[in-house]
Amino acid sequence: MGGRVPSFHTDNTPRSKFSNLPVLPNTLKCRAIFQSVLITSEQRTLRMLDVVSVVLADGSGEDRESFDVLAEASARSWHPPTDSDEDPEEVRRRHEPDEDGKFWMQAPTEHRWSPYADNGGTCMGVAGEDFVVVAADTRLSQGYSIHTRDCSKVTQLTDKCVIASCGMKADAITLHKHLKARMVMYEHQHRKQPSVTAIAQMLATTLYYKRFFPYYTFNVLCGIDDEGKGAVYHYDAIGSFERVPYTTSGSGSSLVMSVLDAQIAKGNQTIDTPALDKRGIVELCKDVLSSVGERDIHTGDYGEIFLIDAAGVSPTRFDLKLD
Amino acid sequence: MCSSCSLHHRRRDLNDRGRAMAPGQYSMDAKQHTMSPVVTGATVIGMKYKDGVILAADTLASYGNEARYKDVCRLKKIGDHTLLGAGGEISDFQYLGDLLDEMADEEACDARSVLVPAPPFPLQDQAPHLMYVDHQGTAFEEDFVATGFGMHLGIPLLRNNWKPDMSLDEAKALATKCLEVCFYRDCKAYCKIQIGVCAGAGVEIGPPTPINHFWGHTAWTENRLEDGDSTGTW
Repeated sequence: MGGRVPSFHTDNTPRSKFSNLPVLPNTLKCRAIFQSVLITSEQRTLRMLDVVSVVLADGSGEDRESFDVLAEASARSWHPPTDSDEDPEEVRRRHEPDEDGKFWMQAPTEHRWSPYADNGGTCMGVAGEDFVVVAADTRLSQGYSIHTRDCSKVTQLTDKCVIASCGMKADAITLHKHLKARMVMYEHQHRKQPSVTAIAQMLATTLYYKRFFPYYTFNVLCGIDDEGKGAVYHYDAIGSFERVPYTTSGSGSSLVMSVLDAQIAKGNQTIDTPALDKRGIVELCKDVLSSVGERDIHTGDYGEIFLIDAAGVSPTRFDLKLD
Repeated sequence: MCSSCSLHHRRRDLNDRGRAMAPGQYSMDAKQHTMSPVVTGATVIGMKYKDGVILAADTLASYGNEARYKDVCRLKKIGDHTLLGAGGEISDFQYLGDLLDEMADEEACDARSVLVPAPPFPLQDQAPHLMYVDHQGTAFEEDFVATGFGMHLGIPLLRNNWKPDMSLDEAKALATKCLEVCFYRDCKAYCKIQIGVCAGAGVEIGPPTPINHFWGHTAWTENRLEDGDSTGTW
């Protein structure tokens, strides 16, 4: 193969050795390219003027001329390529003048309404023999904005059960409110608080009930079960759930999970280390959340730790970075 | 076509000629009306101060990029102890206001006899609360909040200058400053504002007031381009 030009270029246009674009031979060609770009832009946006002036400047001085973009565009009869699943008829209407010779204004698409939002945040739960540790940050964000730095993701449901929810705050508020009401109903009917296992099952059915318009929440349910053992349940948004020794969800969950795999499950460890005790797990959770705050922009501000054991639920707070 | 919107990402609001909707055109499907807002308000600034809460908003209701209605009150008193301010679709705000008025009336009648209604929504803990709720239901309490462009232009000023023990005048001045900055940079902001105060004594919405603005800075007026017919900016 001779030179750098691939064989499918049959013309003899000289090409740049870097970009494989044709080398521009003269100012006239530049003008033609500018003109096509402007015409194409005109077809893509409403914020262009109809008339564009081109200035040619070289050693011999300056030369101005103007051309009518609309006229040029219709003379060339070129249209932007369309998204494959868009109605080609609609696209045609958008780019061609109607009977009155007018172009139709298109409503700005960034205003389209969505029922869902992602408010970010990270939570995790680690089960011990007779205790469980829940940790979550308190940042509430949307896109690049921080709505508030102090908004808890965790709700206490019974004396030995809490739920932490990441994802969409509005859905989490509704879900937690619903669950708290169900706790009261259960207590009135059965004269006792529901067990963590019962709540876990109830949460799954609650989420699946909204299978086709789901709560956009990613939940971690933690508590002490009827045998006195620490219990952690992990859920997806539509109610699939599993009891696990430790888990995490939210925007920083992928960062948290591998650390918990290594430090709690002792996966891929080359040196034997003793299992962490209660205090060790609390400190690990704090460290992990602090580290996630360095890498995930949706996690930060403050951390909350809920330690659940025979003594009940004891919440503590610690600082994360406020950036 | 499904009217539950949401899950049909590709669906556009189409008018009866099958065209994409422009602002102001109404959809054939009543449920889709306010999916794309038509007449909108911009920034609302809210903050707590020493004795209560204030809300501030300009008086403009825009129609797309047009400054359509220039004397619209975007603040509303609900019951005796609540002040509501809104950005976004103005018709939704007005409807929501009516709904809340009804709720306040019902609350009042349920709380006492029909003949002697109790004040609706009494202060539960005698402490000021400032809450933000958006169209999706995202809700939180804060010491200061802002909607719309104010979230980007006003919040940094509030972060730097807000203090919990501010006097009413200081709070008003800060809110005015935020709206002034919005007016300089947000094409949907306006130079006439209203400030509502919610304190122990009740709720009071102030009169529409012009804000100071100055466009005569040298950087904005001197020519920066050589052809001489364009004015400068920074």
